Amino acid sequence: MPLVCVCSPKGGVGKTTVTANLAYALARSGSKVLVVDFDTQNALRLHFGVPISDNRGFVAQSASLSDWSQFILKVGPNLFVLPFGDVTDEQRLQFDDNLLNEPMFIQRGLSAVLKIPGMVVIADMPPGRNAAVQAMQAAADMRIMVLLADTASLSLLPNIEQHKFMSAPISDEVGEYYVVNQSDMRRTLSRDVTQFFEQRLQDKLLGTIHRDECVPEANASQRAIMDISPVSAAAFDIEQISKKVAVILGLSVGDGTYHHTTSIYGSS
Amino acid sequence: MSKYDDVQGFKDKTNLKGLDYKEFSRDDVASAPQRWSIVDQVAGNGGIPTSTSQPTPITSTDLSASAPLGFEPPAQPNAVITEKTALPGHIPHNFDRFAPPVEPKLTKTAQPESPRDVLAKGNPFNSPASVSPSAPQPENQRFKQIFSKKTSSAGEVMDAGRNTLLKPLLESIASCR
Amino acid sequence: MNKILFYFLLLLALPFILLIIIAPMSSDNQYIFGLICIAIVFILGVSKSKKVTLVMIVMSTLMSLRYIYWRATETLHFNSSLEAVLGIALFITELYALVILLFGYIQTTWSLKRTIEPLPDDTSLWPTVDVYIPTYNESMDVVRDTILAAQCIDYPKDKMKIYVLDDGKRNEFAVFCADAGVGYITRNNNHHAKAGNLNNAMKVTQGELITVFDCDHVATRAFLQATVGSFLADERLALIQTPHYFYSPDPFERNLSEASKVPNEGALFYGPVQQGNDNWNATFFCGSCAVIRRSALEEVGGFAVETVTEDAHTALKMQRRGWNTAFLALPLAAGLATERLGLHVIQRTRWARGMTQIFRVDNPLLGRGLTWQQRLCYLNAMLHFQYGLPRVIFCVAPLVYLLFNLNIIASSAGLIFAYVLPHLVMSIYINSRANGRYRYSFWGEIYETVMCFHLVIPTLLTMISPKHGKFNVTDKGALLDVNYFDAHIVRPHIIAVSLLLIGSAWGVIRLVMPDHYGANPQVIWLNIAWASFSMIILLAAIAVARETRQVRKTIRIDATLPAVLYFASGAAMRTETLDLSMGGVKLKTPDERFLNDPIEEVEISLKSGAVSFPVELIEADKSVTRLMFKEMPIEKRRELVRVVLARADAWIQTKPFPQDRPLRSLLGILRCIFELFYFSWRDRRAKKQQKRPELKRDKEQAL
Repeated sequence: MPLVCVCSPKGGVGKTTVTANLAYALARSGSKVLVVDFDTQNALRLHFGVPISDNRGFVAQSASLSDWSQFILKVGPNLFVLPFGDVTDEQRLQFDDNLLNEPMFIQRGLSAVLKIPGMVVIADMPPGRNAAVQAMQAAADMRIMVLLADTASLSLLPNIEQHKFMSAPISDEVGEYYVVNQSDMRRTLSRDVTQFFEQRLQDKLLGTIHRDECVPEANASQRAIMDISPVSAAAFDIEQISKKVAVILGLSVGDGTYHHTTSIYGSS
Repeated sequence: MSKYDDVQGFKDKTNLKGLDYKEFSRDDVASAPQRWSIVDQVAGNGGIPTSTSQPTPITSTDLSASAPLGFEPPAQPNAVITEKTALPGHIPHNFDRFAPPVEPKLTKTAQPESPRDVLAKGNPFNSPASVSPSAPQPENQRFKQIFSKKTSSAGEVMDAGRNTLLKPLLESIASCR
Repeated sequence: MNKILFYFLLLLALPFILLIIIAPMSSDNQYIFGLICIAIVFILGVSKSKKVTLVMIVMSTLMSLRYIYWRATETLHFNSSLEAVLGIALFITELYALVILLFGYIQTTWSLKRTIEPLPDDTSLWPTVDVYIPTYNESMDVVRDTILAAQCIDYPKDKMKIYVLDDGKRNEFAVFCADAGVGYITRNNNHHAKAGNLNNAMKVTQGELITVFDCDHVATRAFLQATVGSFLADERLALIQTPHYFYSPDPFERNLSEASKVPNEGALFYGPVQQGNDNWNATFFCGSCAVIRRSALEEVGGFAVETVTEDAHTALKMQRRGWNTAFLALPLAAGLATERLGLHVIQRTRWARGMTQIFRVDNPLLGRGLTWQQRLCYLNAMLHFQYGLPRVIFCVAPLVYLLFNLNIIASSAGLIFAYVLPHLVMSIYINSRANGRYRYSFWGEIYETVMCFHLVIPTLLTMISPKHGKFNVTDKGALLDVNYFDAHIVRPHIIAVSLLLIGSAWGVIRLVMPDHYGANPQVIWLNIAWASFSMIILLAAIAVARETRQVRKTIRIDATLPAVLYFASGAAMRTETLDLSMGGVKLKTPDERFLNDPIEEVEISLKSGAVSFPVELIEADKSVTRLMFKEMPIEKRRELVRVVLARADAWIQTKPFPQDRPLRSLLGILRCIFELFYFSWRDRRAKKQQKRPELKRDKEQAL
């Protein structure tokens, strides 16, 4: 039911990686998760083991098809991905046009999935301001902004807070949250910025993710971080974030299937 | 347990969960805005005066008078003086301060040559002796170029007078020897 | 209404009480009476209620008074003047013990469990605080962390000033203070040692409140916010004292294996005793880990310089002027315990002398300004420190009969036993019940016995001539690099044990051959039993002198904190610490990466700020990784102090000690004695087979 959008005012913050691993974490704890890629880069599918050559996706036919779910790929028992797919320029422009001008375009396309009880839909948005983000303003139940622990991201915070990036949600129920990525406590600037974010964002900050070489390594292997290296700091951080997300969304432990062993550190 | 909260632990162990404990930011956290200009601005402060001058809107002559490599010709400040535009007008002030023997105003003829002289020198910190002596007033010219170059490349000194940053000032003085 | 009823019942009960105390009984009847009372107490003991404890205390008091009355009226008949002298000495000693017992009961019955007084929300209302760290000859290694920890205290920076008061006038310290950003104060002379040093600092500082930390007492960050509020709540509060908690083992804990499993020596004082004092507004200053109001200090002319325990004396002076004092039983700072038994003895001797000096120079029983409850509390404290001679007498009294055949108690052994039994059993049982989480049975005897021989002369001398003697600073931070047995310190104990052994042996001989050597077997058994108990305690005291090597210069603290290991490859692994010290950290090994990928840094994730420290690997295996911190600049070291020592809950115990069981405690003590002999024998054997320790283990242990 809930539709979560993961956005960022700038590119290169690791949004897609965060989205993919968040999905893995939620799925492991039992929720049903669908990740949808709204970015022409079409990078999300690679995190789930889809080969580069596989260019299936929903956008090419999104205008004519009212139900996008036929392009969903199954990754695991309760984890699914809907890639952007290859598109021509016209298809892309048509998609943007629909996003901007067709009210409920997203909700209709995903309606079959959004109806499934207990299914969490996570949308990976393109960076910056664009048609998809604009359309998502009214559609999402929860917004997660991904930022890096550097001043390039920090300098955009005022814009986000003043709703110049995404307009203010209509309903109070739509929560706006943040994730700070690639925080390196060894580096003064990174540490300063991280701590500044923590003080400034308080409870809105879902968590900070350590800068950890295991992350790109997991990406390169097209697997989840927690599968490659369960004790990695970034894996732990993402797991903590996924728990918070689950609480905010009011998710119970899916249908009872529990897919991972308890971390040696217990639950927080 | 993602991060250990010792203050919460304190409250729990002393059965004082309602205690209004105030954490005082450590020096490094508090001084982060003092260290980084961007952090300072996002924090809502004015921003740290940096050694680079804050860019201002251009005037009509800025674009046409530009040197090929984008250097500001050392004589530009004089154009500024005569035209009284908003370009860092403090340069002439420093100018006055640094080089008392130098005449504050250059003749027009000196101007077009200065950029080339500057370029020929390459490094503004070269000894004054290597300055091309083709200018009609070599002494003054030399010093002017050095000082102007210094102030434009090593960082503009923002406000004249008391707010002058010390380091560029000292460097300027040192480089005139 | 209740009060009137209470006094009325008391009046009614008075004749019965007197009867219990006075009524003479035959030996058999006394036995029965005693046993019945003991049985009643044991049965009552099933209930954990405080009221029941009170009833038991009353019963024990009555039984002990009965004993003393009997002793006073029936047993003080002597055959010779020598016996008279010894007999009266013993009686006075028992009287002393009774007074201490009764004071103890009163103190623990009414104790004040103070809590933190919160500070107002508006920090502009918070008072200004000066933090004094006096030092004289301690090494920079020790004081450095104290200074850094003080900087970590959560308090508005503009309201707290830290000063190092350096009587050693060392350049190294001045430089460090400048680097760290704290004040540095010296003076032209060193008059009056620490008190003079503190007074000098008062002249050049202005804080409304003054906090004193000994140079090895690292504060936790919560120190001021937990204490300062009380000064706003009570305008007449002059002092709030917090416990001296030690994060390094004291000589007992280090040298007796059993001692680390029982509450340590300070737990009783910094628990029930000071809380009892607090109830009557009689808490006294203990020299460190306290906050004092400047105006109160100024009123009494600064820190007292007339005695060697300037701390207690200062508190007394302030109380005379009507100021209040308080005690907060939360460990908000931690220090180093005395490293060696020898140092411990020096320190305690100074305390005993100092308290005796106060008794002579500014007697709390006399003079104006104190309530009678305060006077009694001070009297209690001072009497406590006179335990030297009484403890010696108790120890060696059996020798009088065993070796010299002198009768100093005019009674049959049976009757003595009948009276003593309920008196002792009940007092042991009830003390165990009342204070069992803070002091285990018989350990008080050990602590006192260790000191007693050394205290006799100093306390007597000071009592006679209080101005005598100078201030000995306790040496902190020095290293002990070999196992050795401090025979010098326990020489009197060894002599005493030997004599008691001889006496007991001689007694046994007399028992076995009664015709040759006329002897009353019951008396001999009684004295042998007494001598045996003395020997056990003495041997335990001797065992403390077996100093174990302290190779580690930094103390390890058990702590489970989340941590991240950073590897050279850029990977970061999540794990937990097992223990921490200022020199290194031990962690659970997250995975096998360390085999191929060097660990470069470790981050310890505190919510108030995660910090990363460069490290070097000492050793690692599948389960445990041990890392050493590399040299770090001052700012980093401060962060390390914040993580290791200054955490707000670093020293607060969640689990109290299990309740004391007297017999179990005695068994533990016996085990220590056994270990004394066993380890000594083993060490001697090891010395014969000279073995050099591995370099690596030394390096590892040197953290």
